[in-house]
Amino acid sequence: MTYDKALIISRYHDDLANPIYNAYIKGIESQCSIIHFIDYFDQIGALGKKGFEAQVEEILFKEKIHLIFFIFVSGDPILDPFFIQKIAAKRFIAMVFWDTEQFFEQIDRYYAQLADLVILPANYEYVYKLQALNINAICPFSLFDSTKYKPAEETSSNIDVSFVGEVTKGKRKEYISYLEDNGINIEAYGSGTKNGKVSFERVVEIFNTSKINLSFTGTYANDVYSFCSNINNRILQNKGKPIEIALCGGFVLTEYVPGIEKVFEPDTIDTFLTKETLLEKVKYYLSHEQQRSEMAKAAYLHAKKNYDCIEGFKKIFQRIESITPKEHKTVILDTIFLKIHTTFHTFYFITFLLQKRFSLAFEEAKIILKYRFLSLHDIKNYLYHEKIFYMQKRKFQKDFLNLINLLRNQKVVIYGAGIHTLSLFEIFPQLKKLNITAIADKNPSLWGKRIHNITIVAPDTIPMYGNDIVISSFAFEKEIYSELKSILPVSATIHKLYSHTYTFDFVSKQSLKQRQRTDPYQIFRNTLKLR
Amino acid sequence: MNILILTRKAKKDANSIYNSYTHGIVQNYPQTIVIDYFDLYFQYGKKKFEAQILNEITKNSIDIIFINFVSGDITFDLRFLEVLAGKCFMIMNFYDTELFFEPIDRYYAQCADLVLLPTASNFTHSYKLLGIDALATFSLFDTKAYKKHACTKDIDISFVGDVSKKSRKKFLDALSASEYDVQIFGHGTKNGPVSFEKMNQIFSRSKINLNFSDTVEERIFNTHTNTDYTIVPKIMKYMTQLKGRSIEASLCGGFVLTQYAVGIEEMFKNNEIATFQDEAELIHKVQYYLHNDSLREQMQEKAYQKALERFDATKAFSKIFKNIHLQNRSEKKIFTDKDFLRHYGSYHSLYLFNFLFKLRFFDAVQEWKIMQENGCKFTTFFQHLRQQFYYQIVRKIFRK
Repeated sequence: MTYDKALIISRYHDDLANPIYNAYIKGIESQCSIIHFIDYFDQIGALGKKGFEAQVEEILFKEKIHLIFFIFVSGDPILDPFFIQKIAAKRFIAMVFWDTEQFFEQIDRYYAQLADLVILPANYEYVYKLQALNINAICPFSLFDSTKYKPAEETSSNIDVSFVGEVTKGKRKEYISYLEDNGINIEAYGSGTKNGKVSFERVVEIFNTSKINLSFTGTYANDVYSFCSNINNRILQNKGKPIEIALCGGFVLTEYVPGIEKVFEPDTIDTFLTKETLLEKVKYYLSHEQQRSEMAKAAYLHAKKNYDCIEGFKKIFQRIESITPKEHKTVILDTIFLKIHTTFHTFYFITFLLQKRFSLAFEEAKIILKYRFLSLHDIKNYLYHEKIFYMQKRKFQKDFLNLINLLRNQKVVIYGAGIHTLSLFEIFPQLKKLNITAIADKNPSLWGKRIHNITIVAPDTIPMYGNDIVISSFAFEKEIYSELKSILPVSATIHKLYSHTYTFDFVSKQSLKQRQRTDPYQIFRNTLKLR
Repeated sequence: MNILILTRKAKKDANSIYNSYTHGIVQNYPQTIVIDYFDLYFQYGKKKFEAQILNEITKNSIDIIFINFVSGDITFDLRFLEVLAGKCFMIMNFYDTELFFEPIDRYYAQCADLVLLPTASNFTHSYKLLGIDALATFSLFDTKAYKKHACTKDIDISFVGDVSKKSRKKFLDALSASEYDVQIFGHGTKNGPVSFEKMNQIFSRSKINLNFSDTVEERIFNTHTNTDYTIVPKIMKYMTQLKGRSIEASLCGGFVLTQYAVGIEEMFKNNEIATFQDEAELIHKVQYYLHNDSLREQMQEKAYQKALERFDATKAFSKIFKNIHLQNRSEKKIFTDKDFLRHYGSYHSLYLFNFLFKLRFFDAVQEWKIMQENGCKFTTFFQHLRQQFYYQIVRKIFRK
């Protein structure tokens, strides 16, 4: 059976946050003439459980859709399996699970029982685990939009060894320090590194300009998620990063994980198991440029052929079309799933209560009372984080209003023409009273356009517009600050909104919450009709 | 190679798979020492049990320890296994790992240098994901204990086993409804349980030997075997299990028609045994094979030859041990989880009550400490209390 229309139930991410979501959507879009997208996070937040489910049913009914993709946020247990069972009747259900190495036992398999096909981006061993449960599964590994990853036209490698990612996982910190201690010139980017998080464009640039790009395979330490089993800390994760690096023409040296030989042939990338072999191989490849570049070229061609989302989804759709959807999809749930599911609904219950949306809170309370399994440890953690969030938010508001007072009578330039700046104007109307002479952004396609009648300009023209620059970004504040420092005169004052004091993006989050409260039916902001 | 086997010993005439495995190893390495670890634990209690095993290792310069676990058994202390793993090359064999991998097997397997699984290769991946070397051997038998009986095929269709499971009943009822006469043997059937010898004869006499691949349906505590199925996740109901019965029937020259299970094609090809997925396919194939004697005979002969060659314990262990390099021992990093520890603690209430009712208070205190340290599930505690009260008190009184 062929499918012309599809509904995707997932989370909206822009390329900056996580480009793989968009790559999968692009892949599906390439095979269907009509696709509809529902951001289930936003929709449950905006409409509550019942509202979200009614919306899904309405779209399925009106548009006569018979193919549904669930692209789950990793480890998210909020969707009701009985609702999926209801809409799965006579429809083909495809599911994608990220980080299944961590969440397979507690969450993923309970949803997967309702799938006609599970598409796995990482360790192929889970295909066997799912098949043992009588569930069809394939593992095409991670698929990317290859047009967004381009090899550098000129190879001017100025970084010897680089690593992009969180250094809190697995052995990453230890191995990076070991290389540094042994005199290797290594640059690390991402959470917990001195360079901090970097934009997607910068990531591509780093992959392009590094002689050796490292990749690690450890998962999060399971103390992050109380419900994960310690024993699964033994599992090494087959990551998508080597594919991304290869698509940029970069040379990959990755920690070994069983199955990596299925992703790349041995003469295209290399692997290490211990920090000693890592050091040995780094030294070897730094002094063998010719071999390095030949391997990188072979890896690029392999990745381009096998891991491009459009090519990948062509094969996935061939598989989908060869499978007859199961007539009766059964649901078997264990206490562990119900416990996590109910605990997450408690988070929604608390959120709705705090937002004074009592009818939605009541809906959540009914779910909690229905199952009555709760992880008190996680609820305690959640309440603690909520408390920290509200305390920091108050301080942030106070500090920002002080900054506005300080900048009165000054010529001010705001750096960043994205959603953060739009939200900043929305939350702090006082901002409009300042003498904002320009908004700077390095995206050339925005130059000349206007936000609240203020022109967007190139960063190198900032000195012409003012001496006080406010960085309006949470994720890339550190990176922007370093860039501005290098291009602005010493007399310029750069104001950071977050620094190290704040751990939350109060502007975007707050903005999102306000929108949900005042305009819950702005559903089609989230329900993106992509075509 | 000096080998120590920790296993269960069955009576000589009661052919059990434990005996087959032991026989297979002993045939290759006659100096092998075999200990029934259950009996040893009941006899000595935890401390002396562990001391006795350590003593055997030192006394006999043991190179390899082979632990043939009773399915769902949690007698061993993980820390003790870690000590053993530090001394010798460790091989572990897990039955019913389809069910007990998550609650038990994977925790013990962390101490193994090699895990053997009497199943198809798909399950080895669960171990490999954890960085544990695993090999799928299927069930191995002492093939000399099985005979092709020279007799007429006077039974059309037979099944030897438990018929209380709903899924099996469904298939058998479908056959009855189509007026096929199925001879059923085993607990709860009108023919009742049969001896090993009688079972072999039934396999030889039957034109079609049925086999089912379902796992345990009810999540209950089995008092007879001490197996706590309540610790198995309910979602495992979707699993099918490759049973050794197809091999046993083939070893007696019987034709096998089995319910499909993932990986069965690795065990027998489709020109050796036949499979079915649902009632309609079962009836169709029963009708087809009952009317095709020569095809059935060809297939059963091929299956017989395959079983002799591939599933003979002596031959299989000869290959397995030849490929073992004693110096290739993996680094043991042990993780535990609350649930596993609680299962371990709960299981030891069996020994607690056994020792208590035998008035062996010192041994009972050791068990009490295990339960205190690791936690205990009330239901298992209660089941063991009931079971041991019956075996140690009630039965003894009535015997007297």
